[in-house]
Amino acid sequence: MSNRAFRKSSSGRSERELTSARFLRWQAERSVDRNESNDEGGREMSRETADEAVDHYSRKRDHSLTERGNSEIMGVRKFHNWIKRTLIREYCPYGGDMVTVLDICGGKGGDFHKWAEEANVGHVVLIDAARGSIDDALERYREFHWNKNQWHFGVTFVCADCFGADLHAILPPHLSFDFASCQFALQYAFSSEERIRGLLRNVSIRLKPGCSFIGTIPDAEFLIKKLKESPSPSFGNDLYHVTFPAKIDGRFADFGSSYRFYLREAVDDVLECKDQSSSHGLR
Amino acid sequence: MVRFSVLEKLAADYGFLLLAKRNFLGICKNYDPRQFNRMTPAELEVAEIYLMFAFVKERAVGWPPAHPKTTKDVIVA
Repeated sequence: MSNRAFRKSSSGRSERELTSARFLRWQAERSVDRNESNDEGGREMSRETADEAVDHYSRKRDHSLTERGNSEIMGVRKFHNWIKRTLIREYCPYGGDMVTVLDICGGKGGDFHKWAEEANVGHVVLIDAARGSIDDALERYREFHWNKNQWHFGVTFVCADCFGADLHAILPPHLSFDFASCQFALQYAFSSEERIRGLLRNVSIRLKPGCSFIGTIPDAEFLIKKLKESPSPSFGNDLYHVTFPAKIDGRFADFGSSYRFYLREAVDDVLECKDQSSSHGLR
Repeated sequence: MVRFSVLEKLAADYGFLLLAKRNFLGICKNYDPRQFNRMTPAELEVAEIYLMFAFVKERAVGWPPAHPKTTKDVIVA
């Protein structure tokens, strides 16, 4: 972050605080030209997957604290939050105003508390393709930053497809990152090699050398093990189920092989893409 | 879903070196085993699905970035 961000403006607020109100609106559909004709099956699959995931998360409304307290997957929610909190505490530099983080697919800003409490960061750039989620995140930030005076970091909200857009061209030129995080979302980039490379390029280009990039993803090895053990292409329990395509010939493409994932109250049977080496069969 | 070896190989192309990779239950063991007791067997099975990774940007690929030619598509409100 540039020193310019800490100067006081004539209104008495630091420019960093003013920056926090900045809302960069990027039309995700601009970065993915939906009208572009494309006969390549993998690309169609990656677009279908991306669109379904974006629609799903955009439709999901933000739950109140009371609703979350009554959740049937409260244990899973708490556990996942504990995991993310632990990872941020372990890997994110605790640097006050000098630390800027990139929150990829940051959704409704569910990690804002963690950025504040575990790393005391100075600025967060939250990027998500789901416009509804960005709106919720902005509301949440307004409540805690302006009304409750609890989160003292600034935020730049960007609505963009992190896997398809060129973030370097979108973000303000002075922004660079001390830390990057992608929680429970990187699997959607594996719908095609082009998209996962797009994500890695986007993270790498503005991340300072020596800094870290963390994330959480479903483990392909575990899912394949469960699939092998299951008599049908579907498995799970009361809380979740995974359904692979009915016809499985024992081999998956490197990118774009899909399955459906349902997690009660969290993920509504969304198409997720799995990466499999073609040599890694199910024999 | 990601087979991790492929992610690691791709990440290396962008200057990333693997720092750590652990499944969620492994994180519990390392940091706070009490987490096990707070979950039902069904919740533990969900926890088994996921793993974490941490990369460090070892090589300065694309650093410092050249300034983009245009930001005209960004709307600042």
